[in-house]
Amino acid sequence: MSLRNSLIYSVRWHRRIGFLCALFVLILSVTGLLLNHTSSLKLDSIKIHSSILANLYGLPSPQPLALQVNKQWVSHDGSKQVYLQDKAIAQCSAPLLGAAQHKELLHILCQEELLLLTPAGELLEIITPALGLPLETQALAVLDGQLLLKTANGTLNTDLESLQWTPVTIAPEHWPNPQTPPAHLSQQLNAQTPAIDLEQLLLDLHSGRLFGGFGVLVMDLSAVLLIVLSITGFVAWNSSRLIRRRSKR
Amino acid sequence: MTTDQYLQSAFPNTEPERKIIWLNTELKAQISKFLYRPYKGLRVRYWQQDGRSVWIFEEIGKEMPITIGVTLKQQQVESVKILAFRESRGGEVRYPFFTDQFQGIGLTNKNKLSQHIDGVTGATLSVNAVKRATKLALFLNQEALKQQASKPSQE
Repeated sequence: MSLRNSLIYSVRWHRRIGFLCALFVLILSVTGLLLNHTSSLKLDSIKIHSSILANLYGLPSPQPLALQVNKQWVSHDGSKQVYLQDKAIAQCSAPLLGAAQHKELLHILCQEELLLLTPAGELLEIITPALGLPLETQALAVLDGQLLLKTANGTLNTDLESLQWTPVTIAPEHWPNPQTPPAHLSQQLNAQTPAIDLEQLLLDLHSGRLFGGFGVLVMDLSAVLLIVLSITGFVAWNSSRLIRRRSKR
Repeated sequence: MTTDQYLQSAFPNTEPERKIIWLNTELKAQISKFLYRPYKGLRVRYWQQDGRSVWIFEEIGKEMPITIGVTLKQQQVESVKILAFRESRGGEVRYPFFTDQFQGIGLTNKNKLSQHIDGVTGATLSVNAVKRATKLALFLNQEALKQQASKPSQE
């Protein structure tokens, strides 16, 4: 191949490859620069709440639910945290199944626990199946002064003094069902979605792991293209240098 | 083993009295020291009959709660039983070779178990959970007895 052809091919491929991997070089260099200053920028303490990122990382996407009891909202962030209005009061396993006020105490039924709280929202006790809470609970309601628990096996009257659950034939017409929280609560609950720290995000973006095995392959390919880019750049520079030298002779 | 079955084995042919111990700020602070975490709640349930008491706790081993039943008599452990084990590792703590070590153990003046408990290789976190629950039962039983003893004088 003549020097002139070598120059044309190397410049052409240098341009093509440069254009192809420009975006990846930009990502690699920006993330690399930031990662070099992780400690001084305190990147590990910056938390990002995003449902898109949570999906990419395979984190569970919580489904917040809420229920109104005596004009106060009891809500659950769909993960662990229970709120009374905007105050975090306790933790229990999702989903929220019901809530009711009975004998001045607030009762909150979750998947595996029944929480007993004072009207001010102070946690009194957590009743679990180990303390006799029936399994497969579905809803909670107060009817005729009785605290009723809906289970897969029927309705039970709950006596929390003696921790006894007695089958009853009465049941409310409609069991209160937790719903999607109203807008003002949703905003607060959405802020509780799983957070990813910025350092981790940058590391995974830098390595391509954010997009799984495919992302790593793409970043590998862009690294190989950078090597090719340096070769084509050298060949182009060397060819033009030799052409200039020959033309001088 | 269910809670009812455990209670029946601890109190054969009798119906134990259901009791509650209320926790003030001081007690909660002491409990937090045993558990290495804040205690959630203001009261704890237990069952008592003829000088024997049963305490049931759920303690996290590594990730999941272990349901632990502790039977006490005269401020000493009569038996420790794992009622539900949910962890994927460390299940050895369910077996009598481990739980039998707790028999006859009490609490020292410094609120520590009065005898050494041998660990189980690969089950350190579960072993610690059972030790914490036993210590908590012994401590709360001691406090419950104090509260019961001070009641008549208050009346």
